[in-house]
Amino acid sequence: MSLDQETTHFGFKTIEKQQKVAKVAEVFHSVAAKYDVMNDLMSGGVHRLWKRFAIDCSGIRPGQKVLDLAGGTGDLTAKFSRITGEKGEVVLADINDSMLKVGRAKLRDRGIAGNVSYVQANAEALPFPDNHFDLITIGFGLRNVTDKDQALRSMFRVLKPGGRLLVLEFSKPSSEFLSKAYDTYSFQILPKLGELVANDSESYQYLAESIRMHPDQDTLQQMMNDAGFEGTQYYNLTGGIVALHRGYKF
Amino acid sequence: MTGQSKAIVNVVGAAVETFSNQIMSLDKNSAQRRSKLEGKVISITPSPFPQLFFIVSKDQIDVLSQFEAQADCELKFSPSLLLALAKRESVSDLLKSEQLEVEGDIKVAQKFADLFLEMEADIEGRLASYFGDVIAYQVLRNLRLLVQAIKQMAKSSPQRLSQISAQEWQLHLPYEAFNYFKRDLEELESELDALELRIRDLEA
Repeated sequence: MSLDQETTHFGFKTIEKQQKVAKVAEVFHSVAAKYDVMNDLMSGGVHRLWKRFAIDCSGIRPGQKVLDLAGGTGDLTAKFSRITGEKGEVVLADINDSMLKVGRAKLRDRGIAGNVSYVQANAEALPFPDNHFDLITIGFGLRNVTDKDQALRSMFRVLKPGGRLLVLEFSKPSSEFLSKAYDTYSFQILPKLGELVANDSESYQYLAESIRMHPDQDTLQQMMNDAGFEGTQYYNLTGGIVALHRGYKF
Repeated sequence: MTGQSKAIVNVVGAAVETFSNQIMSLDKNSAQRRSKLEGKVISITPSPFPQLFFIVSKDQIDVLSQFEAQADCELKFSPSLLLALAKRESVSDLLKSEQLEVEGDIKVAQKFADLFLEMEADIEGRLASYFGDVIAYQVLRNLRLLVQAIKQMAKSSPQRLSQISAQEWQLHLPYEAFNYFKRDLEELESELDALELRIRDLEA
């Protein structure tokens, strides 16, 4: 095995693959409690519109089975639970137990129960049967996965034929000006905001770095094609700061 | 639909969803009425604006701009008819004149309209949760008194009310009058400057 296959990125750092899960877990254990507040602050609330856009593109119907992967504090799960109804099934899965606990507590407080189950799972080795879900979403989670290709193949396996995958993730801004402004915001303001609100600048420094290291729109689309998805396309949101990729399993 | 127009409809959907749920949260009986429609999907097209899908659950209404299954009921009408639709008696006329198009289960449409038409908003309760009982009571009481006074004045002496409105209107300075006044003022200012210069010349 070559050195390249044994190492991966953790923000701008190169680390051994087996270290990444623990390091990412550390970040999310640290930010879990303030995750929602920080999301609203960092994006000015726009993350809610990005998530709504993903739901609009999901084609979800009552009675369907949904996997909300890296579901964190359950924003997408809450809406899927209401739309799929009592005959539907929504699985909120996250590799990080702190995020899962925050998500479960939040959804139960809102009275969302019954058709929602919670699973601690690694996206690279999903513990579900083949051809099980009508829809899989992964919102702001894929960039933290160590082996993204393996994760996409795992998602393809558990998706039903005719089902679709939605990947909502930070991406590359389409204009030079926006890119520069976004860099300044990410590296100058974001860590300070993290320090101020969550008392943790390092995690938000990692956030900014991990976004830069994530594959751009076209590369991710090709990765989805390589994993077996068909009819793949992407939508740039907020000038490409975020992109929604969609692919089908036929 | 392009990505950009999808994004715009998405924002409109978010605004409609927030507004609908905020309005319904003012009435504690809304949940009971929503439960009669649980799981139903209503499509509304306020032509020429895009179609929106309202999915009702016991907790709230979710609004989507795309829905790939058949809605239980589809409504199409012009937004200018919204006020007329709020009056039950005019609905049958709108249906006959085909200004309102309904496809699917009309009972679902009626129950959906009831969600909003049968609302009894508890504004005082909502205000009290933010500012306390006393302030909420005082604000609502004074507002009611004000509305009552205006109504009474309009009823007992409509002439007096129109007189007050006319007087208030006269106090408003039209733009042209302001310009005339400004021009006069500038002329006066230049004449004064000229006079001052003349006096200085004479003194010298």
